[in-house]
Amino acid sequence: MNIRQRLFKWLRLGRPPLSLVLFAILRSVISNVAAVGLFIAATALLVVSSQNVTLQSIAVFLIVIELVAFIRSPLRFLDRLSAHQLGFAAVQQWRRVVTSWITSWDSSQATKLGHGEILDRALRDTEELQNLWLRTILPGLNALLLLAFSSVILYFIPGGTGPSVLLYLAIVGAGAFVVALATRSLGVAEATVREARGNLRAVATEASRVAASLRLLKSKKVVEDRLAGAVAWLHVVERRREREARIQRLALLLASFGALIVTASHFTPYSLWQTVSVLIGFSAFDLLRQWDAALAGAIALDAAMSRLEELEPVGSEVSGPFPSDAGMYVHDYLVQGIPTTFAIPLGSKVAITGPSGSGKSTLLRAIAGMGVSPSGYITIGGVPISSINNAALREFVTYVPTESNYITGYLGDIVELGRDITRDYVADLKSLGLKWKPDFNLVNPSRGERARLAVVRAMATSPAIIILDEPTSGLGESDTKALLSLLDNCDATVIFATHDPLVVSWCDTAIRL
Amino acid sequence: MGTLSALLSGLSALLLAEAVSAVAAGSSKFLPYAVGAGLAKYCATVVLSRILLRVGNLERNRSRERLFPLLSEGLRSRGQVGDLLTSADQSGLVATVQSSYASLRLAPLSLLVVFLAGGWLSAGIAATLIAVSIPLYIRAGQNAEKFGDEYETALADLELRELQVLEAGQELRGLGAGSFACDEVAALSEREHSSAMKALRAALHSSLITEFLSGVGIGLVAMVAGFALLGMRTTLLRGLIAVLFTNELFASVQRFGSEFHQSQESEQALKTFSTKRESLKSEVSLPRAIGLVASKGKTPVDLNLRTGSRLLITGPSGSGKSSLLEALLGLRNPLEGTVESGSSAIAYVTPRERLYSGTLRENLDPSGQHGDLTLSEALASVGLPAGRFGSLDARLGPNGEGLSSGELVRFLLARGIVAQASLFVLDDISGLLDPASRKTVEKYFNSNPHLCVVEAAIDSPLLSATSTIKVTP
Repeated sequence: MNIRQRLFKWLRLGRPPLSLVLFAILRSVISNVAAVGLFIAATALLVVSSQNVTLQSIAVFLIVIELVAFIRSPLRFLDRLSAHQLGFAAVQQWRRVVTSWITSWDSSQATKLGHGEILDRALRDTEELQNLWLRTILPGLNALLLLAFSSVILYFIPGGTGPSVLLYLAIVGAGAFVVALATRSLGVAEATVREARGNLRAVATEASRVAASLRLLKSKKVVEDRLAGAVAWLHVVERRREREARIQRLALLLASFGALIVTASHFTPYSLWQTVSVLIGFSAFDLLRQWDAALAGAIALDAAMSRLEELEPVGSEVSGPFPSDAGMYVHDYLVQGIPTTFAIPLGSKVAITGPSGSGKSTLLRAIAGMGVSPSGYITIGGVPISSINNAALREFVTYVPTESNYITGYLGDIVELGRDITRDYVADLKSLGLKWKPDFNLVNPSRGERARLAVVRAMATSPAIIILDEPTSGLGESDTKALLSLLDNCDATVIFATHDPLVVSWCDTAIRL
Repeated sequence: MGTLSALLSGLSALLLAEAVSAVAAGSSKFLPYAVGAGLAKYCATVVLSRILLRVGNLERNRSRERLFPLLSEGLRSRGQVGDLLTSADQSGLVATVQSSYASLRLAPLSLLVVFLAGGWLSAGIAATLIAVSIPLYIRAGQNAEKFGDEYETALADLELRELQVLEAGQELRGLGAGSFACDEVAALSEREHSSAMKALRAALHSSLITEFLSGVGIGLVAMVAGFALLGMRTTLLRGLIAVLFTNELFASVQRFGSEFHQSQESEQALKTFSTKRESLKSEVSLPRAIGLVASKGKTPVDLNLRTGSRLLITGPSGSGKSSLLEALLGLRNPLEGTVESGSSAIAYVTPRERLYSGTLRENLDPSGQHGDLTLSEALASVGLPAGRFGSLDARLGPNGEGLSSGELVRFLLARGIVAQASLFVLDDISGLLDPASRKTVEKYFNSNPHLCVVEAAIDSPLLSATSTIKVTP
């Protein structure tokens, strides 16, 4: 996918309202023309004044200039505000898209990237995408319009000829073209810099999690070295990027001087117009700089966009409905090397046991339809789980990993999670010894509280199958008993991974891996 | 550097004035002036900004090299890590900021040129308008800062939520709550942006003031020069110089204004990285606490650990056991009491601890000092069979994932054994061990009676304690 296609893709993904776009473009063009116009008009005024023209024409000039001067800054102000507004509207949309990607990953994709890295992408890269409007499309458009505006003036001023305007256009165009070409190699360098930056952030995030305990342990060399390595890499690629920008600066310099020489040799009998012509040539420098900045923006964005695209969920969505019979079978699953088929009938309570590392969690994720089974296959109501639509599956099957998260905020919000709740979760929590009301604000719940809350949350929509990965590891004996008696009260199939003997003896079946 | 840049832009303005007046006089000599003006402008903007960039990079690199000591100071949230990295980047702006200070210092010189070229009226107009703009500007800047703080808070909230979504991505999917997370992120993002808009509006207000006044200033000076020209009291060159230097004058104020906010941030960033933390030399080898209160409403606790002590901290879930341990280890600030950190190595074993991506060897021996034999022995003594991992060079996942919780805590124990820790702090790990590995771990501690162990547990502790502290909720 090239830069252009990618730009369009992301413009489509985060489409701000059309009115916002048109408004921003209009304001940006007006404010830019006003800024250039003021400079040219003020200088031209002086030239006119020195030519002994009438007082009246001078007065008209003055009024025009003062008017432009007065409105120039409010225009700029409005221009920038609406550009930011546009950018922000798009960023919000992009973040929604990226978050929806993150929450539909398969378990294998979820562990592919470090959290620091993903966070960096989900927030900073999307934030940077606002530059798509702010620093790329609007300035690029402006540069082009300014070029058109200058050419028209050059053509219509007395003495202006088609060929000379064409020459001006050719020189500025060639400069813009070379800048665009050089931008490509700069793009590669920029992508590496972003990669190195992301890497440093990931390494630092990781280091911050282990740094405190390694300091206590008084052994930190490996992490320190790794951090130093990430810093060193970033330094090297940053320097390379700076070197790459050289060609652009040279093209910029040559093209703006070329433009200046063409416009300056655009002789006319009127010194006023001659002045305007020179000044237009002079403004080619700013025009090209704007163009350069717009392209550099596009390059920076391309890297950000391709990094974001790596977060897209792999695999396509299937459309199969959830079968009416929720009885489950695990077929040909390798248990200690022997293919084994076992049934998990509706409403049964099943414990999956086995030593650490025997694959309990992997099997649970496969049963939940959130990861590929390492061997064999799983069916619900005779239908392979992989053919059931994810949204439908999630309505009937809930899954809770070992360490439950997403539990700070108001109890009501974090239990309901925007779903249709069918159980009285306050009563359920109470039966587990947590006397919380929906408006209770959870700040930093302990592990045991988290564990109990997670189970209540998984039950709250009355799913047909509840899958729990070591739900009692942070609980004492009495809490575990309370949890089991709560689960006794629901008719769902409950599947545990556990080595708690209390849980195993409570279950109807135990499968040892 | 800023001085040079300001002088060069001044030179460019002078040459441009010469060029234009040559054009107006119908002379063909304008070309060298125009080219000279262009060259000077190029140097002032492109070349100098590059040099500034380089100087800034050196500073930024120095800051980045000090990351680790800052990271290891305590439990840091990921948002704070992000802030730290941003600070490191910002510390590179110091050079740019200093140069804008320098160019502002040259403003009186521009004013002098305006006075010499355009007379007292032009200079008076320029000076008055600048004098008017400064207090307005400062006020607008203060407003912008106020909103800036609000923005920081909103951003931190968003970061925290997004991180929670990330950590709970699988769980949210498992509960069918993905769209809820999207809505929450979008709402927090909107809040972040609306406070960003407020801050921006305030910041733009301040630049609006200088821009507006500069527009008015240039216009008025041009008018004065225009009338003087009409009355034949001045030459075109002088008039042009007056106008262009008024422009320069306001440009330097504007530059300073736009860097002003960055200046505070970058100075703050530099301070973060340059303060030397004094490491107190510890008198005791094991940490000691007197009258320690880690969370609200608890009775003060004295902890006096000795070689071979086995201390059990017990209490129901949520009673503050983990907080007490964190306070003892200096990972959180106690509400009351004093904690003296010990000089010996401590192994903090909690299921919340994460490993880092990389090989098992790197995680097991972060000092990189020990041989394979020591590492395998340590793994074996906590019942982690060598066969499970294949080799010590096996790689863990990106977040140090790949071990189950039961394996993780035993791995952390082994890491402590390798580092010859004399204190093991176990935060509620007994529930994560299967009966066989539980026995192995018990055996290890029993056969190493010199080790000091502090264990937090709800009801089935791993070890038989020599003393017990009960915490009540």
